[in-house]
Amino acid sequence: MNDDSPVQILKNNIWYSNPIFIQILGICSTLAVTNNLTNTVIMTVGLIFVAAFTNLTVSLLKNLIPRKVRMILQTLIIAFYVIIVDILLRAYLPEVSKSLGPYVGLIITNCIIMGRAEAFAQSHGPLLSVWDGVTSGLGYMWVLMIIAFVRELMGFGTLFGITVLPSGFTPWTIMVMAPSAFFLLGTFIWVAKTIILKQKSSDMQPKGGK
Amino acid sequence: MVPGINPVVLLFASIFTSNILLSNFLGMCSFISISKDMKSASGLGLAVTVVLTITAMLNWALLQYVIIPLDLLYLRYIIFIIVIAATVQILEMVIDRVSPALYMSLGIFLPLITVNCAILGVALFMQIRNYSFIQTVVYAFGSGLGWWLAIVTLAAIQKKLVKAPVPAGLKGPGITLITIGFMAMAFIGFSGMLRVQ
Amino acid sequence: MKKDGLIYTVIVSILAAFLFVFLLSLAYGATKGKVEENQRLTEAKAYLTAAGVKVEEGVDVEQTFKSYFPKFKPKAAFQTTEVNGHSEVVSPFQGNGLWGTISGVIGMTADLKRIVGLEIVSHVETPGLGGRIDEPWFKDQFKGEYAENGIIVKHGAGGGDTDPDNGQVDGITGASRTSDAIQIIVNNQIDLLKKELGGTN
Repeated sequence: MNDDSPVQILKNNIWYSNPIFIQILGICSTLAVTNNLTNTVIMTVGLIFVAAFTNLTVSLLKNLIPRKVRMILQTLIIAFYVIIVDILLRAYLPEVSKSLGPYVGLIITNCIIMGRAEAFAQSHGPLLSVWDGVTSGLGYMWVLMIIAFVRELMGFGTLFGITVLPSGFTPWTIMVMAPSAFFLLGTFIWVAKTIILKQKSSDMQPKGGK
Repeated sequence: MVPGINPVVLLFASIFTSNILLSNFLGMCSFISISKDMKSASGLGLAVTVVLTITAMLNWALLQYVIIPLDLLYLRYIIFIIVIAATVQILEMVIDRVSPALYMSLGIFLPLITVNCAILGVALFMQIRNYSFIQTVVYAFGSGLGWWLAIVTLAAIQKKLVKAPVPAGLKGPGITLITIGFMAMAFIGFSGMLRVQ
Repeated sequence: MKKDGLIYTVIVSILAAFLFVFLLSLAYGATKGKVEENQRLTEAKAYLTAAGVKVEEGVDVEQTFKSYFPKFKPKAAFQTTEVNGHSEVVSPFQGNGLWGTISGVIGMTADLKRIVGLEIVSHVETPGLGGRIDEPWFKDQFKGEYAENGIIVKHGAGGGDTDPDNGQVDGITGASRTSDAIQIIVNNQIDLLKKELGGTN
């Protein structure tokens, strides 16, 4: 299996090595806003932007960065792009910026970005690194959007702010509060892992002619 | 305007009702991986509390006397992170000197405190809510204690879970997260403790 | 120059830091005007909404604001204006929310018997919970609400109290302390206005 082909990278980041349910990275910063689909989308798009550009920059500069200060310079690069996102949000989407609060800044400490920069961008070319950043972000995004979908639908009866459920529906307040995010994420991991384990055990059955 | 929140209320709130981990989801990565062993969980909790309190104080001072007067608010993320990284570095050296045993047991987790979202998170919340110095110290210390409490409780529960028949797909992070969910629910029960002034 | 040498490390670090701060301050400077403009517009819109003036898309907010508040005194406790022939008092408020300051603008009929409108300008309440004080359904409850003796914010499953004569509004489910805070802040502001306007009743 060629580990570095774009298709393989995509498959790994979206499913087999998914940052959230396999690597369990980077859940802090975004779980907090998953009670609302709009905020989740904006946060994850911001993360994809930062991940892609960070990987690009680190990959382009990898031969210039002295080893001693590698971690701190990577942090600097990540912080640079996060601040850009923050500045842009504040100027052009002030409502969203206010409702996201400090969580935009917390993208800096999101282990996924730092992890990918270390593990991938340091040893691969720029275009592939950008692709890795984008696909990692996408792998992150789809899981969180499913959680946000459930939380907003059951907690508010709306999707993206548009009322979807009939007015007779009593919202499940627990979905708006913290515990639901933990439960949903745990359940998601359960389902995903069970599927992967089943695939593994059926892969190990002797297949005729293979 | 500095909010008029009583520091004692803030202390209890940051430990129980607005626990930095169980309500604000911050500080989770190292939480999930270290919560298996009570001793290292407790050591990490202590380290996080110390780092939180020190960095919050330093960041508050920088915010008030350098960042705001010089209109550098947009750079606050990087300034806070540098302060945190430096503090952790110095703390590592101090621990190594004072108690090499503790240094050994904390191992990889010390440098990971730098990217622990809780530390940066507390600094950012402090800035957004415009806390005074006392409020900042209380909030940071309380958040550290809350995190410590959560991680030790989780480690204790995990020890019991080792013997329980957990389905294969749920083993590991899955059941840990569900456990955290129950803990978060339990902590919500503390809400009745506080009144807004 | 060795790549791992001290001098190289220091030079790269300084260059990187310098470039970093320089580019960011450019971005900041470029958007500063927009950010300040947004802030002004938010405040102007808040005053207009509190006064019961509909602010449509594409309408020049600054013009509208000047037409309703020609003699606007920036730090005053309240401003008077006339909307649709009714005399009104519009006043900015600030108070303690659950975690920080909640600030907004409230508009009342000149006799202080009814609230015309309420707008939240800033808060740091929990997103999805206390943060919902920003949502239209919550703020709309205050329109025309009878408030001569203050208002009550009800706990429980709230979808928006549509009765303007009961002096009650629904709080936010799951955010009882922020809801309480709003009650205290609004009532304090009404008391303040009663004192300021003294015998105008």
